[in-house]
Amino acid sequence: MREALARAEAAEGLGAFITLVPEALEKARTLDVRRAAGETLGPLAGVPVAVKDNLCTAGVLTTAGSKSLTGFVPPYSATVVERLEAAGAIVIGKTNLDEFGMGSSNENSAFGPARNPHNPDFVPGGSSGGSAAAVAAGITPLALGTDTGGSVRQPASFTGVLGFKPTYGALSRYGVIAFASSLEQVGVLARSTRDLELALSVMFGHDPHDATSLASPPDLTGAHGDLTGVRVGKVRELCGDGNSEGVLGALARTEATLKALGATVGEVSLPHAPYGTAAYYLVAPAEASSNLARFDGMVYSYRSGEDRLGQAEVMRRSRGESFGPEVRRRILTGTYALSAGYYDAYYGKALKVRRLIAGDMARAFTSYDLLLTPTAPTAAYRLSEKGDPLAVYMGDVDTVLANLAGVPAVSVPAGTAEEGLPCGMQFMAPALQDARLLRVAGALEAAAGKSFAPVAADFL
Amino acid sequence: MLSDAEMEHLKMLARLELSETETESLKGDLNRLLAYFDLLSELDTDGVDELARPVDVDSVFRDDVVQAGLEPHTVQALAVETEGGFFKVPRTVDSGE
Amino acid sequence: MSEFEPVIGLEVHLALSTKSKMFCGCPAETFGSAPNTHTCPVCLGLPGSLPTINRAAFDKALMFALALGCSVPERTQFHRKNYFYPDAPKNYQISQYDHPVGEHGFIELGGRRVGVTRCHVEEDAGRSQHPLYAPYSLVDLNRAGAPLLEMVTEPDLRTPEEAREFLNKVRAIARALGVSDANPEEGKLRADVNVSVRRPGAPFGTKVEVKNLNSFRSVQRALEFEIKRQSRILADSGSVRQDTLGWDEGGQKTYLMRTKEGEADYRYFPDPDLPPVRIDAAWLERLRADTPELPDAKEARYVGLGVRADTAALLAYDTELSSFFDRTLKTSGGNAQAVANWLGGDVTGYLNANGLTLETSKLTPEHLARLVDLVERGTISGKVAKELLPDVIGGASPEALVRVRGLEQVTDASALGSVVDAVLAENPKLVDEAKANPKAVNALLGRVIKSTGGKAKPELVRELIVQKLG
Repeated sequence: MREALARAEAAEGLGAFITLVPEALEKARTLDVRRAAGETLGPLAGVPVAVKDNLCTAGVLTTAGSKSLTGFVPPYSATVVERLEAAGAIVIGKTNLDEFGMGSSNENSAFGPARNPHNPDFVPGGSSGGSAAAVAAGITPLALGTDTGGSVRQPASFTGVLGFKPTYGALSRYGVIAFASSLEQVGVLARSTRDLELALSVMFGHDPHDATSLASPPDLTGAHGDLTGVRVGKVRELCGDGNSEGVLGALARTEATLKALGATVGEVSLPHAPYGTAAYYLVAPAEASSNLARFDGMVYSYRSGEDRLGQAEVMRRSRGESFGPEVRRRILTGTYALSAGYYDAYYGKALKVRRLIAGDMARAFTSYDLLLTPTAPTAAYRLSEKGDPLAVYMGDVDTVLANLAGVPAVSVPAGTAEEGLPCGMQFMAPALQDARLLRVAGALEAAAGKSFAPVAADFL
Repeated sequence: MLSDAEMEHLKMLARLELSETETESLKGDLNRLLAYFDLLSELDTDGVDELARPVDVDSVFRDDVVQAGLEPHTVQALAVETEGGFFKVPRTVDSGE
Repeated sequence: MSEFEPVIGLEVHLALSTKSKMFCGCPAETFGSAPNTHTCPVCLGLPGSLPTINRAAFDKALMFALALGCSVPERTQFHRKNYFYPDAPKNYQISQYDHPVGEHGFIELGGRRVGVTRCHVEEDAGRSQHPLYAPYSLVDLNRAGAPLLEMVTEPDLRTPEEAREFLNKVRAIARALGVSDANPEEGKLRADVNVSVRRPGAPFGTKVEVKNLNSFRSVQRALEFEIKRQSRILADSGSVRQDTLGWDEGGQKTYLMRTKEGEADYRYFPDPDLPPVRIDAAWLERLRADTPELPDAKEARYVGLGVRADTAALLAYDTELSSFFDRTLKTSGGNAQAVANWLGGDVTGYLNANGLTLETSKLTPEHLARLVDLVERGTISGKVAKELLPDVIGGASPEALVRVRGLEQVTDASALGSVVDAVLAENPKLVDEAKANPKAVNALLGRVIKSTGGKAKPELVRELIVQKLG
């Protein structure tokens, strides 16, 4: 524990954490005492974990990476955090993120960017960049993130770790500061499938506080085993020349490994995949514009200092002053997509395309057990390299599909691409078949051996 | 594409106060995004239902039982400004909906 | 102004009488509590909070919709109604848009059907106070999230009195069903009105909305005021603007709250945090089986038992009275009309005059039944019974009172006969008047009854007097 906290402090230049929790040491000591006394402790007893700062942690500052919540100390914890802690895990800090989960590079934080531990001039990905950095740098073995359009998988790919998004509803969203409610799930970042599986099994389960949480969690038996006869379908629309050379190389290596492990690899079409990004960037901002309306400077969120101006004015100023550019873009886009006269053409249309995409996937899963794509078309890029929001959005083309359809997906480290930076391959499974993803990740991990998800120790 | 008036209306609906430069820049961004979204109009979605919630669950209820809430002092501690237990907020003119 | 005919529609919000709020476990009833003392992350709209649907609120809403003859959808869902308002902590209200819990119902009023366009469930907002001359407002979120049923009528009402009558019916039905206490005084029933005027036969005129009406009487007064105001405008060839007005109770007039130009765009979309609700036939059957008798049905039943129409209506539309009446009928053998008259007349009169209710008094159905019975059997006169009423309401047994005070009515014709003879002999002038004018018999009757200490059976005395007068 002491080590974890020390490494976290030393890694300040990485920008992985917004808040550290020194009380973690005390908690660790208490656990040591109990263990010495012969008490049986939970399956994660004493394990340090990092939690993305858009998950509420009781008594610990929770900012969502935004100026709007710089003073917010929640009186309650997210259900998933409670479950981890009940299993003995200790939260050592809240990780950096793109503000309110909106971004793919962790450059949109009010607290400065997070950096890629493999090369600090490069982004770690986003929006769970801090969590990915914490795991990749070996600060904690596990981190929680949230994945709305790829925000756990893509940073995992960029930093060379595992990133898992479960079936929609498998993990409770109670206590997760909402960005896009019908798309997001808590996700887990880890360097080993064993840690990943442990964390998921501890957190899975119905939550009466979350009406969208599944009555019964995905069954994790079948998370182990070889890949003989497993049918993997490469998504034609996403495995072609939209990807960098390095990524295509990693894809080819992964395909070869899968075959060597006994899987069959074919090709399948998801004809509406090219429309996924547009659909996602209409649905998500629309829900966000509603979810973020509560941050108005009236009760607990940032209030602009000029209150003799009357409430409407103070609200407008508070929001204008406390939201970063990406958040403003999405709130306005989302407001437009829902507004009178435009709903059918934008939000309504996007929801229909969503159904088409889900239909494509269901059809593909009748012939294949797993779908395969790169997690992102490129490896990490330099900080400040991508100035154009639309260019950033295009990087989500592989990951948004799983959120739109509600299916589970994982990014598995697949070696390096350009500039020696890591890149990952994404597997998707039908809803509730999360175990299949653990199985393929486990098999690839075994095949890769020590080079699977090495700690990026030289990041300073 | 968005007119200036439409942009002002959006800012009002979203309760966002922005400077002129910020407004111009965002208007540009929005127009480019809207042009990109036109991609979706290529698709024929007649007879396709909206998929608002990805998982097919229905009728999830809570029993009508009173549960403990937050202690009043905890609630007070959350607020930017309070008076006599109320949340103190800048004056509102309208009496609402 | 009678060249113009009013067209009135109502939007009514009923506070559902559940234990907990619509989307969280905080208490639904917080009237009178200190501010912000019954809240939780959900009804405060804290980041990360999520709503969960109160099953009982849904049950009550459906029962109400069914009672109004609404058609109920197989599948319903919640939508978010997005608007910024300090009382709405999430700056959206979870409400319903398409497929509300009930549509196309009606309530009978004066032999006509007043259409109910729709009923839906939603959450209430908190409350703001605006201290005079202060640059701030004060917000209490205790009420935020309380369960509401909103019902909207067709513009079928034609007079302010009708509107008031309609609201009385809504309250009676809500109370009879046990879905809401529906008291405007406690904010359990809130009504906004939509009113326009037109020349008979002409298309509907521009309507205005009037809000902030705290009693049924304010509703009536506000409508009367608006009808006059709009009629005057139209008579002067002006046009009515589609405004939202408030009602100033002190000044007894409407005032401008806002013009419709700033019409809100609510940007409704299905709430992704709440799965849809499937309403199957079995659920509706259960609700129908549990639905108590409605006031209309009670009224018809009472009339069928021989109760006079106006008394039947009075009892049927009052939950306490009708319940008491039914319990009294069970124990009494007899005359429903007699019991109804007593209950609706002297009993209610006494209770009102003394600030009591049936609950706070000690009157029991058995005692009332027996009191009425004693009169019906002729054991005591009606007059004596009225004198005993206060004590019976105070809990005394009527038989005991009669026995102890020796109040049994005298019905012995020979005994009475001698009293009559005595009175006739003592009052020759009255005898002459009575012979000339039959109505003057009453004076003689009164004397006889008085001299028996009120115990003489009046009908018998009258018979004897008339006999003896020849």
